[in-house]
This record gives sequence, C-alpha cells and structure tokens, in this order.
Amino acid sequence: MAELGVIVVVLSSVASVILTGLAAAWAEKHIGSAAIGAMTEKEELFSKGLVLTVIPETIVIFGLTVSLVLLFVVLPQLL
Amino acid sequence: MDLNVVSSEYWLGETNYSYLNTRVRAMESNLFRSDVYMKLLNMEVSQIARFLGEGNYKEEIESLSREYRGVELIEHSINKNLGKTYNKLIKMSGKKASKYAFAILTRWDIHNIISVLRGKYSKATAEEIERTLIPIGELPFSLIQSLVKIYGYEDVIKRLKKIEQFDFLDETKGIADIESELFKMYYKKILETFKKENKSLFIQFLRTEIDIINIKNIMRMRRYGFAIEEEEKNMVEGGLFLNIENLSSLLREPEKEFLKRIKKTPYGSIIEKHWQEKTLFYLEESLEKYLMECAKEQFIGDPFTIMPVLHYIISKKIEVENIRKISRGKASNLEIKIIEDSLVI
Repeated sequence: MAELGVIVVVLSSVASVILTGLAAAWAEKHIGSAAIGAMTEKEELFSKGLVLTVIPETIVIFGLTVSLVLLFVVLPQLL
Repeated sequence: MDLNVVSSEYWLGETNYSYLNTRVRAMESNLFRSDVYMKLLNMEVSQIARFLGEGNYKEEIESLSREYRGVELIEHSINKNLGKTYNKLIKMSGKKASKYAFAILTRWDIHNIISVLRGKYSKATAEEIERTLIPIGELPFSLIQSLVKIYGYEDVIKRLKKIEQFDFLDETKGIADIESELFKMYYKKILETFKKENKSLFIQFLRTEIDIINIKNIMRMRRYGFAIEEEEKNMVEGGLFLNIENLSSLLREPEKEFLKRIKKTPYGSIIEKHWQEKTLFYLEESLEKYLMECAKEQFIGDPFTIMPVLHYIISKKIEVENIRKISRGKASNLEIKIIEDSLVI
C-alpha cells in the first residue's frame, strides 16, 4: 500500500510541474503575441507588455512549490 | 501603386488572433475621437490639412502637398491613407481572418469601377476620376488606373467584360443599371461564400446593408415613380428584415400602411423622422449613419474572432468619411450644424 502511495506522490509531483509548465506556455503564447501586437503600434507599451508576459510564470512557480512539498514533505512521511 | 492584395493569399501565415486583435486595438486608439471632430469643424480647410499633417496622415500630406492644395490635398491624402491602412490589415491578418477582411475590402473594386464609370459617363477629366479612387481591392490598382485612361464609357465596360467576374456587363446599358448589377454581383458572391455562417454578426451586417440599399431604392421609387422592370433591377436579394416580396408589396402600399409596416423594422424611426422632408438626401444620410453605428456596436465582440478587425475597418472608414464631409462642407461654406449632423461620431 505504501508503494502505491509513493507512486501517486511522485506522479503528482511530475504532473504539477508539467501541467503548470504547459499552462504557462499557453498563456504566455497569447499574452506575448498580444503584447508584441500592441508594441508594434505603440512602442511605449513595451514595459507594460513585458510585465504582463511574465505574469503566467507564477503558475509554474506554484507548480514547482507543490511538487517540492510533495517530494520533500509528503514523500518522506510515506517512506 | 500596383496592389493586388487579395489574390496574393499565398504569403499569408496562420491567423494569430491575440496578436492581430491587440495590434488592431492599438491602431484603433489612434483614430480621432469626437472632440477632434469638433475641433476640425471650427477650422478652415488649410488648417484642417495642417492638423492632419501633424498626426496620422503626416506621410500622405507631406508626399502630396507639392501636387495638391486645400480640399484636394485632404481628399487624396485620406484616400491614400485608407488604402495603405487596409493593405496593412490584410498583410497582418493571416489566412483565416483575411477571408472576412477581403470580403469587406473587395467592395472597393466595385467602388473604384463605379467611380470610373460615373466619371466617364459624365465626361469628367482623368484627374477628377482619379481623385475618387482608393488604392485597394481584388483587382490590381494599375488595372483601375488603366480604365481611367480608356476613352469612353462603353470602352471601359468592354475592357471590364474581358475579366471573368465582370463578363455579365453590357455596354449598351445605362450607368444606373450597371451600378445595381455590380452591387448585386458583389452581395451575391459574398453571401454565397459565407453561406454556412448565416447567423454570424458579419453576415448580419452585410444583410442590414442590403436592407438599407433596398429601402433607399423603394423610397426613391415611391417618390419619383418607377417602371416594373426597374423595380426588379434595383432590388438586391438577401436583406435581413425585408425580402424581395416584402419590398415589392411595401412599394405599392399607401402611405399609412407603409409607415405602419416599416415601423416594425429598426429603420422605421429613421424613415418616419425624415418622411415629410422634400429631399431624400437627409434620409439616405441617416440610414448610412445607422448602418455605421450598427457595425460599430456589433463588431466590438469576442477578442478571439475577426470582429475587432472588422470594427477597425468600419471605424477607419467612418473617420475618413467624416474628414471628407468636414473638409468638403467647409470648402463649400456649409453651416457647421449641417456638417455636424452628417458626421458619424
């Protein structure tokens, strides 16, 4: 039973990084191209565009945090 | 300037709506707001030209200021700018979105051909005709310019007949018949292309436009009389609220019945407002204004569709038309109130 728990925790840890990575990539694709579109016409929007483009990165940080908590807090309790 | 943007579709990439729509919205933020028109209304023609030369129309005003002055300079500059802007839109639209953009832009072919034909029919000079042309559309602009150089009205139609899509034209027909045939062809072609999207806002806009053309025609026919064959020739099929049968019966209704029935459509209040007027000019202006306002409201829509682009196309056209109305009105000393009423703001 403990082995199954380990597998679930490891897979969840992997999934949280992969899925948040994909979500961030999808969001950045749209925000990035929108920002470039706006900047092409109005150069002064560069800084705003840049800030908006990196905002989805936070999703990956959340995913990474969840993954680390699973690996270093939850997993040792199961072993 | 030789442009044939529509048939050059091969170089277009896939449509990226995020990029396209934000860019278009940024472009839209550069369009004139209502307070700018109020400022323009209080300026003289030369001041308007100078004002345009300091803003979005700088390039065109600067390049044309040696050749033209006053209203002519403004007119040529705004036409050139409109052509440039629409070409830019097509280039950045991508395959999927460009289908809709083309549908709106190909009407400039019809606009240009009609301008040439009207010019030839009324024996206008080549310069006068060229002033009304907009360098955009499916046909290469060099072809349109070559039509201007052709001697007479019949010869222009004979030349057009050699092009597949215009082979139905007949040089023995008058200008009014040719115009209505060209419009009919345009709407028929577009409605066929977008058959599956019958309920989309874009098609609804086109069908509202057809309604307005038809209403203008029946109002003219009611007022000035008509022959039965004329009725058939003028009506365009595919209206949103009024089909051909409705129009035909409306045309023959007595005044009270006509107003009662037309009130059930969104155009009723406009027609009622201008019903007593001697001329149809203000009614036609108001209908045009209604159409533009409709498009502006409808096309705000979903940012992941073509709607913002169509909204921009219409807004840009409105801006150019407003500038044209102001400069022409000012040049012919019209009262500010009359010019202001004709603006779409």
